[in-house]
This record gives sequence, structure tokens and C-alpha cells, in this order.
Amino acid sequence: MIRMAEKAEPEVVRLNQPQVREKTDDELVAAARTGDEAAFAQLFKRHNGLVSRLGYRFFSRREQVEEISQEAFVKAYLALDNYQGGHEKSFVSWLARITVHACYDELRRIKKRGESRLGDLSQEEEDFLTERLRDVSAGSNVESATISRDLAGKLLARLKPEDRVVLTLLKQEELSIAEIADLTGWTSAKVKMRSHRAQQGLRRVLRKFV
Amino acid sequence: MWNNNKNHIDDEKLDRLSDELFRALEASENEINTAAESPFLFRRIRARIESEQRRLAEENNPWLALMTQVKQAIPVFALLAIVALASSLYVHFNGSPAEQPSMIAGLPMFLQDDQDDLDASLVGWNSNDHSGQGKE
Repeated sequence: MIRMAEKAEPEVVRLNQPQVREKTDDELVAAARTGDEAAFAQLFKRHNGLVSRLGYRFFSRREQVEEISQEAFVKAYLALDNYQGGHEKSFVSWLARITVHACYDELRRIKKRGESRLGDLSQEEEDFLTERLRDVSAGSNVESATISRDLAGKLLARLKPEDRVVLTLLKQEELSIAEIADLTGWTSAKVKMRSHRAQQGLRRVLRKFV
Repeated sequence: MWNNNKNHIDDEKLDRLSDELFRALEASENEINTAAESPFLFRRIRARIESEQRRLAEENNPWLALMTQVKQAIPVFALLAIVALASSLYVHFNGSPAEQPSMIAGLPMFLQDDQDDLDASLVGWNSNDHSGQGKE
């Protein structure tokens, strides 16, 4: 379901190691539930890449991404009893859901604290963006626009947290509406409506610079 | 009026620029791996799990929860006690007799009056009789 999840599969048994089999996620979860710390450490080692990758979709600073990792794994550990496995990708999907919620909560906290105002843009960044949008209006190739990650982060921070979540999952993860609904726990209708409004919201943000 | 720059940029172009914004945000594999392999990350997670478990255990155990609340209230009570002691010492050493009831033998004046009345009644003096006491 999630592109990045494909990289997080348990390693397959190698032919030259016939007796050794990597434990599946479900087996590790079962062991971690009984208090086996090594099993949880192994789950962390196996899937922290997935969590960090998702974190970087929403935040650009390493500290923020590490904070998301912490939040996601702590929540996952405390909710291990609620985990229902059974499928090969169950744990990955479950952990991704927890991570997306952690990201959403953090976006809401940031918004509440008022850390993401348009005033955060430096004069230089505003000039750059205005110039770039004039180029676009004049018909130049938009793909030639080289936008720094910092500037992109500041602009996207202008969106409502739920809009940011939907657009990120749509555009970066290239998920379908149904997959986003599954990840966020929202209804498909809400996700569809939110994606439409988010797109309009982002256009409004960009138009301010023209 | 409406024919300004804003309208020259159609939605499609803005959407392509939006896509560019999201592409700009993508982190490199190296960055992701660095964050994922942060040396103390797992230790911090373990510490947070332990503190969360302690908190949950306290919430689920009424006695522990009560003790925690009492522990939190100790500084407040200590502060109140200090304020009360400080104000009574201040009154004792700085208060004028006209403003404050005087303290003799640890009793305030109104209690002393009551004690005098009691003593007087014991020796048969009426509290309203001011004529003869002390003069035999």
C-alpha cells in the first residue's frame, strides 16, 4: 500500500543460511507483548526507515523527524495489544497509520503555537517567489523553478494541517483516496473534499505572491 | 479590474508549481538513513516508554494517583505555612497595641478579658460593679 513499505519487508531466508529464518513482524510483536525488549528493538530497527521517511514528508528538520519517530514508536509499543496482524504488511500499515497521526498531531501543535506565519518568509524568499510566479505567468517552464526545501516548507506550512496531510499523501506518496482514508481513518468523502479544498488553499497561498 | 496578473496564472500552472514545492521537500536517502540510524534514538524511545508506563500505572492505581496529587500539593501547603508563620511573626514583633490585640502569656486580649471575668466571678465580684473592688 505504501511505496516505502516495500523496502521494509522482513529479509527472506538466504540459501546459504538454511537454518536461520528472520522472525516475521507478527512473531516479533507477539514476543514484544510479553516484554521481550530485543523483539521490539528488532521491530524498531526494521521499520525506523519507514517512519523516518514518512516524517521527512512533513518536516524538514532532522530533530523534528526524530521526534516523530519517538512519538510513533512509543505509541506503537503502548498499543501493541491492539495490533491485529495476519497479513504480510499488517504491521507496516499499522505503524504507518500511527506515524501519519503523529505527524498530523505535530502539524496541529505547530499551527496552534503560530510558528508558521507568512511573515516567516525572508524578503529574499518573497522576492524569489514573486519573480518565479511572474515567470510562470509569462509562460516560462515551471519545472525550471528551483525552490529550496526551506521555502517549500514555509509555504506548505500555511496550509491547514489536514490539508497538508492529504496533499502530502496524494502528491508525494501518490496514494489513492481510499488508501489515504485508510491511513488517516477519515471517510473517503472527507478525503476527497479535503484534497479539493487543500488544492484550492495552496493556490491561494501561491497567488498571494503574484 | 479583473484582468490582472493573478488571473493570468491559471490553476494548472499553480498546481504544477505546487507539485514542485512537494518535490523540493523530498529528503535524500542519506538524510533519511542518518535520522533512522541516530545512535540514541532507541534509548530515548525506551526512556519515554518507561515514563509513559509509570504515568499510566499511576493513573490506574487510585492510591498512587492520590499520593502523586499529595506530593504535588506539598509545595503549596509549605508555602501557605511559611506565609502564615511569617505574617504572625510580623504581627507579633511589629504590630502596635492599638491596632492589634496584645498577646500575654500566649493568649489574645479577648481571651484574657474572658479569663478576668471568670476570675472576678469566682471571687464574687460582679463584672458590672466598678465601685468597690480593690478598696477594702
